[in-house]
Amino acid sequence: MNSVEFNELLNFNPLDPRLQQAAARDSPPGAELEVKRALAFERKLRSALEVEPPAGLADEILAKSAQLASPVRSRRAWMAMAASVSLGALATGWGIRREQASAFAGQSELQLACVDHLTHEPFLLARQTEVPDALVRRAFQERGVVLGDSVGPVHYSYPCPVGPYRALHLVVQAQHGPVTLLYLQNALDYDARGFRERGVQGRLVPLRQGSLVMMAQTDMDFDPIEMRYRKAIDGTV
Amino acid sequence: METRKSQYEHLVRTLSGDLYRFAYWLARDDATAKDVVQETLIRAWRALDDLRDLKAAKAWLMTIVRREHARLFERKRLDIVDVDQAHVEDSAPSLYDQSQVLQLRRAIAQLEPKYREPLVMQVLGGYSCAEIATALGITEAAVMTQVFRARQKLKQVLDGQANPTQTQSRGGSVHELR
Repeated sequence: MNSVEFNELLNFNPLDPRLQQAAARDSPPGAELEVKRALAFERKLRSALEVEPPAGLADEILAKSAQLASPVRSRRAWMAMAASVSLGALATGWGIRREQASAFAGQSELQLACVDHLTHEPFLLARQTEVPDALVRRAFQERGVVLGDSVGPVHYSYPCPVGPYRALHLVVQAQHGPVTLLYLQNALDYDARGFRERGVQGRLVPLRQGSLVMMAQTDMDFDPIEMRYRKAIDGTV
Repeated sequence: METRKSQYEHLVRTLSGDLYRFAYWLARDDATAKDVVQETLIRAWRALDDLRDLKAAKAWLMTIVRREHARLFERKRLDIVDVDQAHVEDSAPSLYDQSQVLQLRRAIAQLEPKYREPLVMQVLGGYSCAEIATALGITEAAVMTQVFRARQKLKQVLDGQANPTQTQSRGGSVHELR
């Protein structure tokens, strides 16, 4: 190996076994020392990269996978239902057309669009890890809301469009199962109303600068969530 | 079914740590990394029947980790700057100077993603420059430059900490050898 090849390996792939051969022969001259230094750095680099995974991570994942595999679990049934609605929506192209619409003709169209949005990614309902409060606050801020109180535990947060509205898509693991929330910025022309669309229980909550839509298999967790979000977003209960 | 389950359990127990580390250095955030790994392995559970070669599982799963991370978090353009303090301060091998390892962790977290990602793929994933180039959709030459520059930046950090007056001892030595 000439010095050009040696330097190339040392720079771009310091763990290449050919370098150790070069070091053993000390060819090119100085190779032994250079490889020794490079390997010492690589050991430190590896140590630095090898952060400790959270305790029980594998068990947690296995437990969750087992839950998903069980056909009798209500959460599984709910997710399957969400997936099937999603397939139906995709089959008709309804969801995509609806999200590209420039405006909703009325409240029921908004509700349908929200149900469609929920069903795009049903696996999100399985999320268990909490999103840090700071990230939730920032996400709301990007939607024009400075939260007062915390909205409580959030397990998924992502800024999405819902029709003409800039929305924030949240998932909350509540007492009776996952609840999907859509905060729709500047959606001001809608009334407080409970609804049921394609097996999804929903509730629309008008707020000062937008609307909050809650969707789940059951509405049993809606009251406490509505109270928390009203307080955090509007400062009222 | 039982075989499938035990295959999956083996996969999770063997690879979840590596996947978490990879996700952690992509996201630089513990909760995000955990979410990404969970999502990845749940996808793997659903698609396990499609995976014929379990030896190829790590590369397959790392690809899913990258996609999942990009899908969930890069588009959000969240600027998570601080490395999780728990990880910065957790145990390092006693053979090495712990303060250098911690210094290195902070420096890795501050690397631009274009340097950090190929470096992590090479060191933790064992990918070749050609494989990284394919995965990232850039040229092999670009990958080589990026991993080289990443190491140079990190070596400079260590040199500055270890002995600021002799910076050529590690970082500069490669260029002197002929």
